[in-house]
Amino acid sequence: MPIPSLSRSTTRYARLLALTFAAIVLPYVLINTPSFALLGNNVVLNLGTLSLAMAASVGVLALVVLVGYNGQLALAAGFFMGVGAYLSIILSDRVGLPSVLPAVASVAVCAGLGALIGLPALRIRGTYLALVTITLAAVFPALVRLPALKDYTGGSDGLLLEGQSEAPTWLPVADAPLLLGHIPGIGPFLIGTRPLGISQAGNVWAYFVVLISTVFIFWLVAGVLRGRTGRAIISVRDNEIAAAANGVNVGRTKLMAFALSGAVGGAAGCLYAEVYRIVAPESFGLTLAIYLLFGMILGGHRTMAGAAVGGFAVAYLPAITSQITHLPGVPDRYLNGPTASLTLGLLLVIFPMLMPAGVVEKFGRRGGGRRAESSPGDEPVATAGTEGVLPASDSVVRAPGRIITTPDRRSTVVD
Amino acid sequence: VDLFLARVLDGVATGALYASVALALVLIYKATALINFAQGEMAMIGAFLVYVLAVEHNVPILVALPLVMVLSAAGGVVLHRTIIQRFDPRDHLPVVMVTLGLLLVLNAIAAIVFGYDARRLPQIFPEGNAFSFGIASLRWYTLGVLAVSCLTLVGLTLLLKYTRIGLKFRAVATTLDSAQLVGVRVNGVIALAWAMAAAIGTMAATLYVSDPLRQLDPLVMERVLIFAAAAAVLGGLDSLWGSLVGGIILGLAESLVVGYVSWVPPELGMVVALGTLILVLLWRPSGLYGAKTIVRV
Repeated sequence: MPIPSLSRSTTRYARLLALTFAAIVLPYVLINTPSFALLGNNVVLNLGTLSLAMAASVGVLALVVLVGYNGQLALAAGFFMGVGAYLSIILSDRVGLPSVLPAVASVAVCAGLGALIGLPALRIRGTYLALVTITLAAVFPALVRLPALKDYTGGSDGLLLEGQSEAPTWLPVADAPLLLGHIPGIGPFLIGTRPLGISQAGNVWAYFVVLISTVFIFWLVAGVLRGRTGRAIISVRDNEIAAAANGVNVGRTKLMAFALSGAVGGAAGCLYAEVYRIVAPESFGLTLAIYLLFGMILGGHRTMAGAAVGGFAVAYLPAITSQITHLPGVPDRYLNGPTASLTLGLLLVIFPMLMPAGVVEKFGRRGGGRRAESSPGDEPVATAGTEGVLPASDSVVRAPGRIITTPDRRSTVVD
Repeated sequence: VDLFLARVLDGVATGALYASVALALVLIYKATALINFAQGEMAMIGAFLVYVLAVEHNVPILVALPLVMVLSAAGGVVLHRTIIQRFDPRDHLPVVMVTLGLLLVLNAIAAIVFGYDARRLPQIFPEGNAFSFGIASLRWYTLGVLAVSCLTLVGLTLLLKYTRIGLKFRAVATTLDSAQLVGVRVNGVIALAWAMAAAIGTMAATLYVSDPLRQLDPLVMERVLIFAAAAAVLGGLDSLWGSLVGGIILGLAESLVVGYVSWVPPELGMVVALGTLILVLLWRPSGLYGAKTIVRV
């Protein structure tokens, strides 16, 4: 069913507009902590979970870059999240760097750390690499509790980000309900028409900060992955030898993927710190590493959209399962343990059997969608004889993880 | 000197237990070239079952342990048949995910059913010391653990060397496809590896927590798994005896470094394991006794 391109881009803008609108209205709905009934339980949703979901999306993106796009089974994204979160808090509380500087510095440090960890990873691969990196993630809480670092990291007590997020006065963050509350239908019920208090406005502001950062990070990473470096990263995944034969510096490319993943993971940590404003060693251990892995697997490890979906699952599944305290046929005492881990673990076991490529590829709209418009520009470059050239059509055509089946797309590649 | 001796003995005992878990990892790795990240949690569940039998139902622990080992073996076979067998071990990502998922599931089940309270297991070996020299003393526990670990290893070696099933196992471990071609039922052999690994793991976990200085809780095996994995890699992931050597080296390193270097806190034990892991993989990827692999390009 060929759709004229004009109408396609119009629907695209319409969708974008709708999404933006939803992104602006949603925090004002969630700030009132709406609840719904699920199997006889009262499940409350709050804004923190949504903000956390975006931070988690960025964390999953760090994995996707390294595992999905570069084919390295490195699972230390949780470690970088930990470093990013701790470092940004230390830099802002102890060192006293203003505004976004702590975040920028932590991301830079994490990129460096990523490259550093990538160095040994050049010689370790497959399951071994998974073993080393998962150990690294598991060791993080122990590292934080080291007496030598205790003055900075707070040991087992964790750290508090001082102050609270405050919306800038020139933005009508607190007064927005006066306007939004009049949206017919949802407004009066879900939003209300009273302006927000200071702490509520702070939470909404934190949400917007995280939202904008997340979109920015995804956009940035998408740009990197679409460009020369990105094609090199993908070509190394598909066939290292062929990539090297075509002039890709495999070692350097792997290091860059590691640095990129480290930076993205660190950024996720900063966002986490911004949302939660408190960090503890146990938040960043083995469990987080496996949760992020789950997010990657659920969404699909070869798509960025998968990272977004996965991040939401990572934040919302535990938030919901922890509120389910009654289930028909199950004694209540079995429902107040780590049911989130149980659910996620089971899904992690089941998913590879049911849909090895993740939900985005399974249910996503026909392969093309958004990428179809942006790709004609870069595909020919890949086939024209520069660095990213790949031997078989395999890797080029199968751009970031999507097996292209749409007729229009195939024709663009042939062009 | 006495204190030194005591620490060495402690280190060796802990190391022997790391070695036993490492042995379980090696068995599965030899059969299918996958690292079973869930091994520690499988063993932990086994130890809990021993606890339930021995403490809540008053079965003598020397009866309960073998019983649970048989149960774990059955559990290992079930896990392999229902889940692991579906995946191609050469494709690392799904297998790593599934075993990590199992880690999470088993851990959560233990925490939900038994809670996080630490429990004390009855001792398996007689209390007190077998010998003592000054302050240093050789506890029966240490002696027992060493003996059991070595016996397991000897038994396993004999089994693999001199029995028909051992021959099949070695055939599968060497080349899976050829073994299949000459009529070995590959999946049966791999299932056997899972059974043995599960039983050995249960034994190791039970011995580990039956030390009067340790207690049983759902988190106890995370640390052991990391050490065991490091030990297995240090010894060479496909070498049975390598796992013993690796385990003892790591046990000693942990006990001596933490004991003697005053500024090194106990938390750093795990970092020692991680460091060992990285160094070995960098400088000698096949470990001390592992077979070198040559990749044909």
